[in-house]
Amino acid sequence: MSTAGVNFPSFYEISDSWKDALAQFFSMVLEQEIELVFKVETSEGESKDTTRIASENSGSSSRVVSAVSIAGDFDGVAYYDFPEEMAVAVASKMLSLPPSECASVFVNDALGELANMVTGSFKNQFVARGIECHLSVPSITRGSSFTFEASDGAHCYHYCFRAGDHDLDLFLTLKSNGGPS
Amino acid sequence: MKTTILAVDDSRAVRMIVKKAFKSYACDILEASNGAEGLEMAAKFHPDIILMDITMPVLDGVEMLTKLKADRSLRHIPVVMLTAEAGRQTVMKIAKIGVRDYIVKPFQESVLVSKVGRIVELVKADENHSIKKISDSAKVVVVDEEPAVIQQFRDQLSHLSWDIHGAVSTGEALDVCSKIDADLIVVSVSLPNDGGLSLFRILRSESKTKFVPIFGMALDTNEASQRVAQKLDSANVISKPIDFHDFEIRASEVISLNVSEHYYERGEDHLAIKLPKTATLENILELQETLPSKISDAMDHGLYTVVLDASGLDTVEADVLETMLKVQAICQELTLNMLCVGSPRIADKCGVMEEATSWVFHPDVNAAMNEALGV
Repeated sequence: MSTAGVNFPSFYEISDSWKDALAQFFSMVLEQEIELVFKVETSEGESKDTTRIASENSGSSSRVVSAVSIAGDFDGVAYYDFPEEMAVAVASKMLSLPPSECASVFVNDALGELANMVTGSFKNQFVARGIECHLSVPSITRGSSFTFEASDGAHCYHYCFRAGDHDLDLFLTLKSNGGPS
Repeated sequence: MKTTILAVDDSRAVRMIVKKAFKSYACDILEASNGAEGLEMAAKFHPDIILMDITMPVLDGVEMLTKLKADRSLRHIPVVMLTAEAGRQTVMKIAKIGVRDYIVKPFQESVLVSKVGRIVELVKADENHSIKKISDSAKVVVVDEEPAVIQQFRDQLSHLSWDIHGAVSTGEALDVCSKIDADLIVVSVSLPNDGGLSLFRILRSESKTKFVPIFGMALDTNEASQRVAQKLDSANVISKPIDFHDFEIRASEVISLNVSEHYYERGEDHLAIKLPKTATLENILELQETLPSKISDAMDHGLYTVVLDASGLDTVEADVLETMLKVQAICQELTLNMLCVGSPRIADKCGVMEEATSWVFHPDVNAAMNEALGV
């Protein structure tokens, strides 16, 4: 599909790129395999004037969400939604610290870097095709109930990956922003 | 001499990962969280290499690199970029300013170490080796096209806590060595197509295995393969059929294992000290150093008899006699009973020495203990 001169990546391209980026990170840094449990594209193109698709997690446990904004030919946000137990396990492995020594500040750092690296890898696959993208610094939010909401006209994707005993939810909103003609 | 690495990244996580990656090397890791801090640290400490992120607050990596290269006193410091940005434009931009290499995040620690190792010298931290004991685990990679030879290593060294990792080809050996921190690599020179020599050269060019001791393994009867083995490392050639006792001693020496524990054996009512048939001076000194603590520890556990087992000796060299006399002195001091085990030949050798004239040698440990117990 094409939007204002930019070849908007297809659902499958987005899905594959993100899965590849995340799988690469888990394999290289955490030495763990991941499995795609499900993927949902919750809106399509700008045929709808308003695409407000929200996904709400169960709210039953503490969660740590790392977010990175994308700007350029596309605008969007990538959210990495971890159960807290998984967040601590990831930080522990990344930083070689025992889980008991993984204070919140270390977990935040590690998940922020995970979001930066994975979104960077994802983005690089599109930059190679001439699509201009830049990333913000990652931000971390903690809580027990989150709603991810796409802005008007944005595509919204939700993927669920399983790593070990935990599920990791990824939400991506992407909206074409003109770009090269 | 330690290598000084300056890690400039706004992510503490990345700086911690860098520190972790070089933990087993003799390195000082300096940290800066942005380009401005990085420049200050570089000017103050003149690191051997700088690992730098691109996207950072205050002063980004490109700006820092530009300023670094404009400074005569700092421009020589090699820079490796660690970046999540693999875009062609970004890479071209930093390449023009002058970086030695770049690594796209996420990266494997081994890739980081390998790339840095090609630019600056990385030396394994000595302290990690010196504290190892024979009872500690050691990772030994055995490369031989015959799985039976690899199995022989596993069987013959099963009494030690050594992990024997087998590889039947050059490719498999490189794969194994990239995944583990090998303490010793044994390479058969009879791998096809000069594979042994090629493997040796590759292992010596990789920073991860550059300083890992390598033994060449050749058939005793094959002069050509012996010569190839000596090319690998003239000091470290082992011959097939393999004398595993000799291999154990030599391997322990190059891995810097303290082999002294190998010479002690606790029985129900005694401590046996087995004097080594073949041992280097270093091994003997290690053994002598541990005598007081081992003997007193045995006494603390209710063992009041020390058996000095010289049954493996053919002759008594000065350093071995010195060891025996040390044992005697410790036993006298602690009022412990000392018994000797050894052949008549050893008894004769010792008998001519004034300090050892009272020693009575028994044919084996059981005989010595039976006599002591009046059985």
